[in-house]
Amino acid sequence: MSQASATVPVTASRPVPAQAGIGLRSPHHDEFLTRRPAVSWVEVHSENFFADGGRQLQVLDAVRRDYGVSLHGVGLSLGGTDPLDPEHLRRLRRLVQRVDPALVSEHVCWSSADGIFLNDLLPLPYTEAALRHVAARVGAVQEYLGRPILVENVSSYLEFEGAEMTEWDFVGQLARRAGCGILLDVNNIYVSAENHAFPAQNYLRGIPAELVGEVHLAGHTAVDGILIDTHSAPVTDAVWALYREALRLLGPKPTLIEWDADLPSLERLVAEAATADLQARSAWRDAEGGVHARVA
Amino acid sequence: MPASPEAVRDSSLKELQRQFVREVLYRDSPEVAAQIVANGLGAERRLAIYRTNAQETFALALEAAFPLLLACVGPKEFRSLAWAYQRACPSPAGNLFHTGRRLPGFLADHVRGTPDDDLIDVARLEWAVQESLWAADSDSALDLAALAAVPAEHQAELRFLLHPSVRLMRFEYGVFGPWEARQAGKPVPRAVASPENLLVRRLAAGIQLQKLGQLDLLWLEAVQGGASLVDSAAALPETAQDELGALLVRWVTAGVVTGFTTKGQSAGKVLE
Repeated sequence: MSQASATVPVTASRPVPAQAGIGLRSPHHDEFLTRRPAVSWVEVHSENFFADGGRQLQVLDAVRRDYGVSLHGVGLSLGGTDPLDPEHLRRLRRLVQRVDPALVSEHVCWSSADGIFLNDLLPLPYTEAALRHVAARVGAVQEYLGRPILVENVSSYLEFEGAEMTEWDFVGQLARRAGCGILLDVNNIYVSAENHAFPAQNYLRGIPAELVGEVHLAGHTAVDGILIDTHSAPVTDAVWALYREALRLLGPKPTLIEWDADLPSLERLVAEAATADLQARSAWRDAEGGVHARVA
Repeated sequence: MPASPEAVRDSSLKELQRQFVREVLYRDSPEVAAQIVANGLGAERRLAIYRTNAQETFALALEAAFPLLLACVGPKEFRSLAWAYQRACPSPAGNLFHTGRRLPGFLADHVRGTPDDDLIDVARLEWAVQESLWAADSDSALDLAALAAVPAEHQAELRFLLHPSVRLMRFEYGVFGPWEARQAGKPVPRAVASPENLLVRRLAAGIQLQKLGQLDLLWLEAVQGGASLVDSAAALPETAQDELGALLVRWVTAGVVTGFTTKGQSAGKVLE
């Protein structure tokens, strides 16, 4: 389809406020449109809406009329050394033009080599050369889309030798150099911190708060001593605690509940988002109390 | 399209990523382990997590796209098939939709002439369904008033357009029955050798399969191939030339023919 044929949204997009939203997945589409649950925004995986037509796009058109929408990509391979896939980018731009989302995001990772995709969020070596490479590609993507994006830290199960900086330095520098924002996944920080034995608090303190545009929360699973980012369970108590700590440093941020496998009922998902809002209010009260205590 | 920033490609990064992918899929680049921090857990075990993730993601994508094939062979055999297919035809894109594109051909290469021969047609059917789901919407129904207004001297050059989601399929096996059984939640029988022609298309309520007679298939195939009205008639047997009008009415009424072009016109609208 030519660029000219991309559907131009007829209404302005709704904003994504500093409240909790949910990841909207296809098993919930019909119920979501019928019940119109009390969440202020939703996030969808961009690639699930790359089709030329059909029901999925109609659902998204309906959702965006009443809810803020964030498009979250999982397949662009920003850190890959294969050329950026022009067809993938073309479909992403067409979708962005159709939806006019409040946020567009991708991952600080790679997915393919020599044209073979593992369709996973693979970790990068945290080197200056890799940083230059990824920053250039993020810049190219933003130029093509005509708007800034957010880049998300991934969970990882290995680290490469020869790292020249920490992951949080890499992500922060990437955002500064590329002029993009950060999607801070608190569960991913927790998972990686446990897997690689670093203090999660160091990660939070090392991220430039002013560049964080969104926060992700999800569940994980322990397998043989390693935490796996499965998105198949409720947010754990430890991750809630880290989330509160994050918000005390970052201030209010749009926060997404991600749940992709063993999907619960829509009601359960919305309840998890309500819990995130409660946790956020608790964190801000603590932060204000801290300020008051210091002033006193 | 943005110029890919080739100049900043780092050769060691490229080599690392190549080795990583090959070790995950083919276990033929063990040298990548030397570049992985052990930190309490060996590199091979850490790589195995990514191997499991890659297998799982790929298999789940195939299961979603080929539920009838899954029902035919069972979950264990399907996972085995998925891994063999993934290693032979790995995912070519960041969008998982494309993972199943080469599965019918892979099966044709591996099970043709065996007792699993029917699985080739099952996979062809399910990929046609995927393409139909992915296809563009049609702007509108056929404009009958515009069609009636086509001057007689241009009617022979009329070219009808099918809805973009329409797929016309010729099968060696009767796959309609197994498809219907699965849709109804009944036990799925294996397809038996018996040629069958199906029209696959997307409706508002979902995918519809429709058995096609030989005349319908021949005419619709000609139309989809871009034949003019005269040429589409020529695709029919000599004895069936009188059927042309009935065919057109049937498929316009069914919403399968959704537009037309002729000299100076497109989709029922006159081009200035």
